[in-house]
Amino acid sequence: MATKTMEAKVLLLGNEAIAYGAVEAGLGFAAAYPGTPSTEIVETLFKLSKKYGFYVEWSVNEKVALEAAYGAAVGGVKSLVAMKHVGVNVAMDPLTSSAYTGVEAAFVIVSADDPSMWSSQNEQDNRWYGVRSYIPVLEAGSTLELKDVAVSAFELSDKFKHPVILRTTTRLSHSRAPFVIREPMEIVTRGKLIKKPDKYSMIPSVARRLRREMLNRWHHIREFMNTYEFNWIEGEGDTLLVSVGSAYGITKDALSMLNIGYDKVRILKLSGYIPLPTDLLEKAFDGVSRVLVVEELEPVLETLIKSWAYDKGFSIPIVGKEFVPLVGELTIDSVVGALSRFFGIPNPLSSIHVSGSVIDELPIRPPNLCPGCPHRGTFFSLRKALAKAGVKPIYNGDIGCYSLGILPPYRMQDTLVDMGSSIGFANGFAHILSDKEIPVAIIGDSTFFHSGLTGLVNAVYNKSPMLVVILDNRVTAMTGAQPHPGSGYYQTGDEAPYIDIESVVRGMGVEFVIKFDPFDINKSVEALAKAAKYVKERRKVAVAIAERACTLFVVGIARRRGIEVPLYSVDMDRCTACGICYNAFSCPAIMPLDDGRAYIDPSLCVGCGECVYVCPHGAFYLVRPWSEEFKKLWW
Amino acid sequence: MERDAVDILLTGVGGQGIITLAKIIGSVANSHGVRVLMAETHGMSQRGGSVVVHVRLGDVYYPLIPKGGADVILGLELIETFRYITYASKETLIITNDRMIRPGLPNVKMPDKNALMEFAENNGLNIVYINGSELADKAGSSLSLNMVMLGALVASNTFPFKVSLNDFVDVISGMPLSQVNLKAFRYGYSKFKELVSGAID
Repeated sequence: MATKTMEAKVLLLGNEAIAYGAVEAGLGFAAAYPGTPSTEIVETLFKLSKKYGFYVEWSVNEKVALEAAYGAAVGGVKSLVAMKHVGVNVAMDPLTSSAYTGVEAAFVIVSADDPSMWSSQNEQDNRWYGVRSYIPVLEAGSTLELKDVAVSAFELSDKFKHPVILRTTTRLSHSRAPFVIREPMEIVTRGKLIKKPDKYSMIPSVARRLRREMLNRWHHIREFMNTYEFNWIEGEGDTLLVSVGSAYGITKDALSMLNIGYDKVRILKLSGYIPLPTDLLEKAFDGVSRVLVVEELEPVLETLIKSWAYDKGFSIPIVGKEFVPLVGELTIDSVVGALSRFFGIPNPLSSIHVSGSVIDELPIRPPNLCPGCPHRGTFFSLRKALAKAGVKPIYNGDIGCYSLGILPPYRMQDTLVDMGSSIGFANGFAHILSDKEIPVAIIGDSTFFHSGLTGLVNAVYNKSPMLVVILDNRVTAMTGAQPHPGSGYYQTGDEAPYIDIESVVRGMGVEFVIKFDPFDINKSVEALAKAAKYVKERRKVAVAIAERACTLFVVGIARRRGIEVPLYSVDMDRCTACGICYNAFSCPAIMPLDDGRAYIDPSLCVGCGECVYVCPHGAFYLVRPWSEEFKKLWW
Repeated sequence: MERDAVDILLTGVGGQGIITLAKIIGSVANSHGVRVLMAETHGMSQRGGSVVVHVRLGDVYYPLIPKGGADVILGLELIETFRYITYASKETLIITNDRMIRPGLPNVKMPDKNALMEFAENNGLNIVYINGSELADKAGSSLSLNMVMLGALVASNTFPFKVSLNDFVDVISGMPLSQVNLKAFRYGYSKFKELVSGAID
């Protein structure tokens, strides 16, 4: 049983703990673009900003967010920018040069990596970015350490006036653990007009000097890492396990499951590993006969350590990815497996055998568009409209809830790579397809502001025939309905300038723009068919904008305010069991009864009414109509 | 193999309130001074997809339970309970809602409930089926299913601290729809006692 501590511990999500750590360190400025698994960091900072008075914003994309935070840090205000791992790719240009210039106050970049790709297009290991950019990388040894390591990231950055990457992962960020919350010492939110062009204006003559200065700082940061408080050696064995970042907690649990004692192994626990703390490493290597590097994803430390050991003349075996999986997040299972193979002892983990049984045949349950999601109406109408217009489409998809359009029955995301890739890919397909085929770029409102603008300008300028469908649901829905420039309000609820997508598109020179309400399937088909015909006949870009707020978000507000949500039901006499509603339209609120007729689950239906247009037999009828109050919630 | 924690796996479908359920368990355990680590499903996977939350109570570092290592599996939907059955061993207590929810895909072939129950029996699993959805409806809202299942879990007395019903009642009372939720919690509690010991209290 655990002992009571002096200070009360509260359970926080890992990302909340990072936010509290930033505040404790004296944060003055924060910016981010939402992206799983990073979103809750800045969401939490918004909640804390009123009390502590620092500035927080949702930026339009990661590059802008990083530049904003970088600018604030150059102005002398402690800053944080948070993003998912692939967001760092978008921000790479300023990030790289930030190591050359340094800053005037702490500048912490949170990179939230996603091993196993729970919510991402790849599982790139952003620790390499630290190596190739001369930016130190810190990572907690377990969720329990997240807040303290976040505080230390600010201290390190402030001490050397150099950017620091705080690397976290889905597992660290989306775990809940107990933390002690402490008040900040001092918060500075106002900086200075820094006039140092010889340091912050990267013309070649300045950059050449700064590169040498950066390498000099790097040397001092390496010395710091040797005594960094979250790096240590434990145990006395002659086998060294180098546990890198969050692999520490897993290694500890795995050793305890294997009953391997610390008389047999020595752990080098590294939370500050880039630059490599070479003096500490030398101490850890003293007297050991073999080394296993336990790290998630790429052999980053394994490579660096092997290279260092070669130069130092060590001839003991150093292994890593030979035993520890290269693919996916580490688990206790995989590390117990790796350690048992490494030590040549039996693996104590066993599990029920399920292959060849009924379990193998369980139906999959992927995430799905919500009941009443306007995207479902858009997909349904779009397919009909393109057939009507006599064009064959390639669906160039994008990142957002509508990525789920890849699932049956729609299968309308033929390509889907990165933020903005819908219009980007369409710019290529537009010039290689036959006259009857057109690229259809499907992009959300938030993604359009993030990375769609430049692609669309390109399409107008280069006369690329494509149909761009902008699914405007007023929020960044997938990450939890954060507001963006087209929302009209801030995260705090305060009113914000509203940037109208139609005006933006027309301003770029798009001549054909049409809007539709995806809840009205008939009119949506008409509008989209008109747009598709325009592309086919005029060989130019057309933009169709679906306007309907995120249903999940609106219904959430209704439920919280006690406003009744409308409801449809099935007229059993009219239903012919054709299955169009639950198979071809596939609303999760509509399911088949044993005889094949449709049934609407009243706990799931939100009364969008799309099914009314879908049913050829008129079997759906309104049980609870749209109240005036409910109508007002949609904007 | 040493046991350093009581490991509880919560499974179900996005939207069933599993994270809320996990947070209640976590906050009660935390108030008893027990270290809590919980791994959650966020983001895209939540949209009506399969959801699993790992809750580890005790002195461990990593929030994911190893396969075959769960002390309890609490399932809010029958298919999802069996999807994560590899986390069970013969020592695991499995408490599951007996209802299935059809995945929102076209032409889904639903599993045969009897075949699933037979699988559990053939593998010697310690499994308790609860009419959770029915009890939630009876309590006043299908959304209170998570509280029915919490009640059953509390009744199973598998926490690494002395459970007082009031700890849970206090937390639930501070939530929205507390009357319905408290009723649901009590239904689940009594149902488990009735099924396991034949006693109704």
